[in-house]
Order: sequence, then structure tokens, then C-alpha cells
Amino acid sequence: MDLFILNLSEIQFIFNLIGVIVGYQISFYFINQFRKFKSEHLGLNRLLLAYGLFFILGLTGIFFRNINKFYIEDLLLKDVFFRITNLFMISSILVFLSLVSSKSFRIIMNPSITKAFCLILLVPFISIFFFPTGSIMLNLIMTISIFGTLFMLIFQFKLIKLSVGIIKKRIIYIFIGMLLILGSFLFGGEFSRNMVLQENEHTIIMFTSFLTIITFFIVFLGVYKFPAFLEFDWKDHLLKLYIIDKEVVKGLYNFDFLDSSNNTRQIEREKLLIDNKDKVLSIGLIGINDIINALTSTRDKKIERISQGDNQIIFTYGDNPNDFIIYALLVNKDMDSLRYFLETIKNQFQGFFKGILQNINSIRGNEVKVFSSFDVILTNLIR
Amino acid sequence: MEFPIKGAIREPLLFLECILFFSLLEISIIFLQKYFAKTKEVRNSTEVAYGLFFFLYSINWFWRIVSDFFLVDLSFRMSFLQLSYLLQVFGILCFIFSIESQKKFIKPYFFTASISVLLVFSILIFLITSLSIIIFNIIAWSIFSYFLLIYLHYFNSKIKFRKYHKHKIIYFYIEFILFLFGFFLSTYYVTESFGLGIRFVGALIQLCSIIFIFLYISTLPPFTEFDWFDKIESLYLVERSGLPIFTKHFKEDLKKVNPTILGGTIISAQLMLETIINEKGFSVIKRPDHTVIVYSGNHLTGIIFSKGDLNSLKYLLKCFISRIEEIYNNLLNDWNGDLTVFKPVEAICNEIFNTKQS
Repeated sequence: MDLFILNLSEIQFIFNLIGVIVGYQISFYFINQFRKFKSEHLGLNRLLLAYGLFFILGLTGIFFRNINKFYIEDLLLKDVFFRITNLFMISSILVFLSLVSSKSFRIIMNPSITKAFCLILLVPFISIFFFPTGSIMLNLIMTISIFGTLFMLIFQFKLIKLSVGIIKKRIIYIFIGMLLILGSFLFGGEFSRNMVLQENEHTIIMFTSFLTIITFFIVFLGVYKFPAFLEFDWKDHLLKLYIIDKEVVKGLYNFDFLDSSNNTRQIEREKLLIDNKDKVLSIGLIGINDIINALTSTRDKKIERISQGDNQIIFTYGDNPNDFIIYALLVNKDMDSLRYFLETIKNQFQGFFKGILQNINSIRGNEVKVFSSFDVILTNLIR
Repeated sequence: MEFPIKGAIREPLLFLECILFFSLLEISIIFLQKYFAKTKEVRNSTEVAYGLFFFLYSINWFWRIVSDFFLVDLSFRMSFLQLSYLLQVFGILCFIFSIESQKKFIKPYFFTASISVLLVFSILIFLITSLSIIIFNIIAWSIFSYFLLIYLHYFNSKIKFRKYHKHKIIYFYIEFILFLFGFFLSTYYVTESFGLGIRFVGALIQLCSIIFIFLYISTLPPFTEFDWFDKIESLYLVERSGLPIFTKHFKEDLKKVNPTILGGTIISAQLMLETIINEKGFSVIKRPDHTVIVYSGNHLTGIIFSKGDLNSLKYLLKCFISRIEEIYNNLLNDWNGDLTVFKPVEAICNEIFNTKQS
């Protein structure tokens, strides 16, 4: 007598359902990460949104495919579900490519080529509405989406080559995950099942379903606490950092990004700050701000940027109650990533010296000695 | 009721219970991951309690799904079910043991001992006879419900100083009650009487309640903080010469020690201990009523008076000393004795020991 009744379709559907749920969770996590960094206007962070939408749309397509496979009997309804599945699958690639076709990604791929592929993908997208299911014409047009997929993979491969550090590692995980998911798309699809794998259909589908779940855990390793995606060569444009106390018109801290021996001793650091050039800069920056305020009669507005030749000074100001602190970053190129970096410095400084800044008057005369310990934090930030 | 489950309700119920199983598994992994991600000093067995409980409960659901939806042979199904009952009792035991290892309720390990006895009897009966062990399962859940009431009361006493969380704790209680209610609805006794629809409702209630329980717990401060907050009495910071720099009293009705005398005395004692035992690190002086924890950095020594020797307090003291020395490192190398520069230490102390009521 049999101990079990095993309906393989149910098991397959359960695995698929779990894969879809995990995938949706990861997609929302991607989108949430994008939302966190959205206000920083870092163009490359659109990649997080691209990944998130790719997975959501692709998984929705898989979900419709599974319902079609296991529960739809009516031929007309099957046809409708088939079209919906393919619409979602193609739109996942289309949305991904359209989000990465912005100028921010020009260093990876020519945006015009990416936009061209987006337009090409519209052909199968629209064709689904017009051609009958299973027709040779539709099958031929659908193969165009393979080229779109290949282009997407090449894009990511180039992105990995250009990335460094933590981001490179994370993108590799996500890339591996995407490859595996695309593989399970392919093996789970009608075309491959009917043409190639009919004899081993159940085994292959069970395997791909299980693989999908494992894949999402790999993707999760990539996406967990994904850092802000700064532009590729932002570190090369850093020159100097100044942190100034506006109330006493005095520099609290400075850091020279070009000087490799920046772990200077305290006495040398004092010399750096009493060096005329830096002292003039500290006083001068406050002076310029005050003059502009007086000329424009606007006390509530603050200078954001000063350009001098090829160089620029980017400003940000401390958050209340530390709004007496001015953060000035000298750079030789205008980049959103550098503004984001300056904000990060501000947040780190305010966080590390929170207690000190609340009672800054108690360390007057010893500011340099106290604040020089920020070197360690800053060195870690630019590593 | 016929098994395996058939009919129109089969698939919706199967899929919902699979989602419940997977959600429980995910939540348990998150709790256990949080526990293992921390350093040894700040690990708290409450996280293990929740992690193990949800994990074993998820396996229990897996067992139930297999036995109710896929097994045809009745006697084999009964054996399978018995295993799921054992798992439930074991899960309850793990939860209670992890909580009681931190805090004694009624008597030390009273509930752990009770559930252990039930578990032993259940295993014996399962192995030796063919009788159902469901009665032990019911008793275990009843004890667990009673334990939960006591535990929630204790939990409330820990959380009452957190105004923000105090208001939200009512939802936590409601969700726990709903979880038990959902479990009750999905028992065989209830489904025999009211049909499988009620089991579907029970599973749905459990799914929603565990998600809300998890979300609430995620908003809490680390469980470790519940350990030390009511035990710490005073904190002293002295320079290596014995000169007191900073003092903080966490309780108002304390007999206050002269920090100048304390600083010199403690540092001398610590130096003596390090010389005799030839080992640096924490020095802990225990008395029945008080414990003194001492830790020295490169320039500064921290002293905590508390009601117990807790790893979490040691960890916090070390963090505190390291943080101060990190910030004041250059100044401390040639300090001129000016105490006013250390005024900001109060804010750093508040940050690390999180004494603000949020």
C-alpha cells in the first residue's frame, strides 16, 4: 500500500510560490535601498531600482505562468495568461534597460545603444498583442528578447569590471543570481519544455524551482545593506577638507587627500592649521558667506559652491544644533558623489563628536588635539 | 475528517500553510542570525529563545502539512503526527529554558523542569506504546500559555521606562494572544467540530500575528539592554594617576562614594591584581550585594558599581573607555590636568549607556 500521495504539480507550485515570495521580498528591499539614497541624487543608484523592478516584473510573469500551467484549463484563458506572462518577462528586461540608459551610466555603455535596444524590445512587446500564440512569426520575434537579455548581461559584466571594493563584490553576487534566474526562466519556459525536455519535465521543473529559491538567497547576499553607488572615479578628485567653527572663526580640522602621510602628529597638525594659507581660507570662507548675505539681505541662505578655475569648493553646514560648523571640500571636478561624500563626512563627524560638539566651549584651545582623532574615520571612508 | 485533505479547500489551505511554514522559518533564521552576529559579551538568550521556538514551530508545521496532505496510510500518519507533537513540546522547552536561563520565575527552572518531564513521558509513550501523546501536548501548551502570561508581565516591567514602547506593548500582547488563538483554531479538535475553513482562518491569524510580533520586537532596543539597565548603579572614570574625571549615578538613592578616594584605591587594587596574576583585562570584585567592574585603557580607567557581574556591562564599559580614549587620545598624551575639557564625556556616556528615556 502506498504511504504517500504525491501530486508533483502541487509540489512544483509550492516551490514556485515560495520562490516568488522570496523574490518579492528582495525586490522590495532593492527598492527601499534606492528610496533611502534617492535624495542624494546619485545617478548610479538607479541601478538598485532597475534590479528591483526587474525582479518584481519577472517574478510576476513566472507567477502567471505557474497559474496558467497548473490551474487554467480553458484554452482562451490559457492564451491570455500566456501573453500576460510574456509581457511581464519582456517588460522586466525593458524596464531594466530603460533605467540604465541614463547619462550616469555612459561610462559603462553608450546610452544611445541602450536606448536602441529598448526600442528593439518594444517589437516583441507589441507583437504579443497581435500574433497568435505558437505561430512561427511570434516565436521568431520573441527571440529578439534573447538579444535584449544578452545585452543586459554584457552591461552588468562591464559594470563589474569597472567597480571596486564592496560594490564590486555585491554586484557579482547579484549577477550570479540573475544568471541563475534567467536559466530557470529558460528551462521553465514553454518553448524549452515542449521542444527539448518533455521526458524529464517534472525533474527539470522541480530542480529549477528549488534553484530559484537558492538563487534569491545569493542575490540577498548581494543586496543586503547595499552601499550608496558613487561615481567610479570620485576619489581621484578629492583635494582638501576643512571643518570650520563659524562662531569663533577658527579651523577645527583639516585633511589633505593628496598628502599620503596624513597621519601627522599633533604638533605638525597644529602647524598645518596655523599655516597662513589654511588660516586665510578658513576666515575667508566665512567672510565670503557674510558678505554675500549682507549684499543680498538673505541671512537664511548659505553658499553651496564656489568655483575657481578648474577647482571647486563644496559647502555643507552642520545640522541643528551644530549649525555653527561649516564643512568645505576642495575638489577639482563637479560630481554629485562628492557632495554625497561631504554629507557623509558631516554625519560621521557629528556622530563621532556628538558629545564634544554639545560642549565645545569646554575644549577651547584644544580643538586641534581633540578633533585630529577624526583621521581614522576619514581614512576608512575613503578606503 | 478525512485524511489526506481533499476537495476545494485543499489547495488554498496547503498554500497558506506552506507560506506560514516558510515565514516562520525566515523569522527564526533572522533571530538566530542576530544572535550569532553579536559579540559574545552582548549575546542574549532571548533571541535564541525566539529563534529556536519559531524554527521548531516551523518544522512542526512542515510535519503537519506532510501528514495531513500527503500521507495515505493511517498508522504511518499517526506516527508522523506524534513526531509533530514531540516537536511542539521540544520547541516550547527550548523557549522556556532560554528565558529561564536569564530570569527565575517562581523557582529556578520550574517551567523547564515541568516541560522536560512532559517531554520525557511523551518520548517514552511514543517509543513503547501506540497511544497518542496529544494529551501531553495539550498540557505543554497550557503550561506555555501560563508561562507566557508571566513572561509578558516581566517583559512589561522591563519596558515600562521606555515610554515609546510602553504604549505599543499593548499591541504586542494582542498579537501574542491572537497567535495562541490562531493555533487553537488550527488544532484537530476544533477542525473536527467546525471544518477545515476554521483551520484556514487559524493559519491566517497565526501568519499575521507572527509577522506583527516580529515587527514589534525589531523596534525594541537590544534584549541585552533589559539585562543591565536596572542593575547598573554608578560609573566612574579616572585618569591613570587616580584623578577622577567623570562620575555618573544611575540611581538616585545611592550612598555616594568619594570619587577621589575611590579612584586611587581601585587603581592600586587593579595594579596589584595585574602584578600578582600577571594578566590584564577586566577586574571584577564581587560581594553579595554589589559588584565592582574595573577596566583600564591606555590612559583611563572605568569603574562600574552594579548589582551583578554582567558581560553586557563589561562590554559597555570597554566601549565607553575606548570611545573616550579614541576622541581624547592626542589630548591625553600630554594632559595639563584641566578637567573642563572632559565636560562632553557626559553626553558620550548617555549615548553609550542610552540613559535617555525614548
